Amino acid sequence: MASISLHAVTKRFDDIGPPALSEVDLEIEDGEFIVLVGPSGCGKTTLLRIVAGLETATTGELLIGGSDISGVPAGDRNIAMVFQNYALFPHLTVAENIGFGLKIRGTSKAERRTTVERVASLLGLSPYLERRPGELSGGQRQRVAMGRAIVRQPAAFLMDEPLSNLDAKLRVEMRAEISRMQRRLNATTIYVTHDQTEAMTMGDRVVVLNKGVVQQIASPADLYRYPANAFVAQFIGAPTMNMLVGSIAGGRLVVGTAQLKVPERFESADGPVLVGARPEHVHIGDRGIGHLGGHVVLVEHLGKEVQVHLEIDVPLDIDDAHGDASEAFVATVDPSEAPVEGSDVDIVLDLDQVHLFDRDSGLTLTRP
Amino acid sequence: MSTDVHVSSLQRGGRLAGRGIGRLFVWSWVLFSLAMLVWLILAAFKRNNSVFRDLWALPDSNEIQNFRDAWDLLNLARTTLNSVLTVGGGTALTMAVAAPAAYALTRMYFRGASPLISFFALGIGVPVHAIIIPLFVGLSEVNLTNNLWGLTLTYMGVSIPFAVFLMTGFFRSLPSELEEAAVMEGAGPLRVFFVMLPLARPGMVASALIVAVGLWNEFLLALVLTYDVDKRTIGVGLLNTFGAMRYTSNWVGLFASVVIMLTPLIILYTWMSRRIIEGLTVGATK
Repeated sequence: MASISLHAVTKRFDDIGPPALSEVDLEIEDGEFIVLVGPSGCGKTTLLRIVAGLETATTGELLIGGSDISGVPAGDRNIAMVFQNYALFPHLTVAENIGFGLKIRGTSKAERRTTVERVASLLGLSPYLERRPGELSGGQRQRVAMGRAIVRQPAAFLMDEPLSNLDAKLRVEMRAEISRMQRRLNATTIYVTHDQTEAMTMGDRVVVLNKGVVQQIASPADLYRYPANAFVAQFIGAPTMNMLVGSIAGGRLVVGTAQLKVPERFESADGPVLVGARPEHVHIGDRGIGHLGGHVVLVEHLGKEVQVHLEIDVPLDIDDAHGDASEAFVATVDPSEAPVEGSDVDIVLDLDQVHLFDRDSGLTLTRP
Repeated sequence: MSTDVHVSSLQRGGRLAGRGIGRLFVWSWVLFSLAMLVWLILAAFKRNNSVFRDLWALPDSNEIQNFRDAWDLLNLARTTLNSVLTVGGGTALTMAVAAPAAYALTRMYFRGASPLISFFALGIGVPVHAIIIPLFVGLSEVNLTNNLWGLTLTYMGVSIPFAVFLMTGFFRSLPSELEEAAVMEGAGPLRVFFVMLPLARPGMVASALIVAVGLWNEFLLALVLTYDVDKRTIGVGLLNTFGAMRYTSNWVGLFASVVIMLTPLIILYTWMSRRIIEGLTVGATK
């Protein structure tokens, strides 16, 4: 296994328009599980393909284990990749698929068979070695793709949305299985997904990308607690963080008609801001006690909690990743506190937990 | 509003009429071809003196002798062997050249690939009549006239443009992930090609069948490039039957010869028609 470093990697597919990737710097430690996450077209797959050698960076440097491999062909990088649609060779058996890389590298038939059998037993594929991919279920195919990746003990694994073709239940199972496998092999892994649950549950660190630019690199917990900007704040977390337009003037945080005390940690802030409050940090009370007035448009009972969709009289900032204004303000409350649909309520923001972002740059004003 | 409705109903009416005329044409064609085939088969089993008396009557006797005559007239054992050798060899060589060429043109993304594909497409439009004299002269320079190898190589040459053009569609429609997966596993260009080749099998089978059928029916090149009786292909052999018929008026023998020549094609088409249609349409739509 090996560390992977990207220095100022930029990728342009044409001379017009913005680059697909812009000045990406990333240091991945040996054995680390890194997740690249972001909306469609953010450049995460392009970044993965550059590491794989299937795309060439326009500028920048790529090092694996300390050596610059920018000019090294994909097949010589000693990296394995699991593709979104598994990319199994349909005319080869499971055993031949798993052993494909070994065969190309000239491993003897006997050694190949032993290695393939060991990997197959690790993945629970031993009974299917003579079957072809067409005769396997989605989960089994996924395992074959994993087997093909791990069999030749590469320096790193690259995974491009490997669970996106599986149904919800299988996805949860395979998610845990991939995490377990990665820990057992201590394999440096780059995992691309657009599913934030996968990103948050699997990665040691998560890289959030938007429009080809790295927004933040942090552990899942830090990403949630200390988002670096309004985009990350709204991209990570479900339901998404509520984002209100406000300002700080004269030591008061003004949101709509409410004038709130600026929490201590923001006392140096001033001017127009975005106020971010996660749904679990929004409380609903009777009229007259809260910061803002709201009208309950929808109450969703999820069992252990209730999601309350509200219309409020304060302008909201809705980013392009979560564009629907009707779902823009959500509170998550205990079922015993659920309001009645159609009622008018007061909204209390947990000021110790709110995030403030600069309204122009979107950068956080919160200090961890 | 009412004008819009009127215009759109007129357009719909026009479309329906166009489709109706198209269907009428296709069905007329099918019925005519089938009628000719049925008539030919019936005639091949009739006697020479009764064949034109009542055109659509069933044969009153089972004249297997017609086929025996045809066998001799066509020199069938020899001509069939020659046809199988030249058509089989020509098709195999065509595929051996066209498959890697089509793969490289569509999957290797090099500058000039697109003009090269157009160049192959242009090759389909070159009439054999226009090149037959230089071809004959060229082949005679290297002693390949009146030679089954010469004819086989010529068949390969004239078939490659069509086969390449047809197969570019198949290779283009294959998923690139498989290729990339092979590359990631360390496969070189040749190994990647052999990984992709089985996936292109439906297209290759269709291309090979179309090329083989075309070559089986080929007449002009075989006529010009071979002249000894034992070098004739089945198509040219049929001409001999026709020539003999002019003096003997053995029409039924001629019809039996045509039936013999058509039978492999009919069997092939009936057996493989779905594959041929799949092969022709794959890559055209996604």
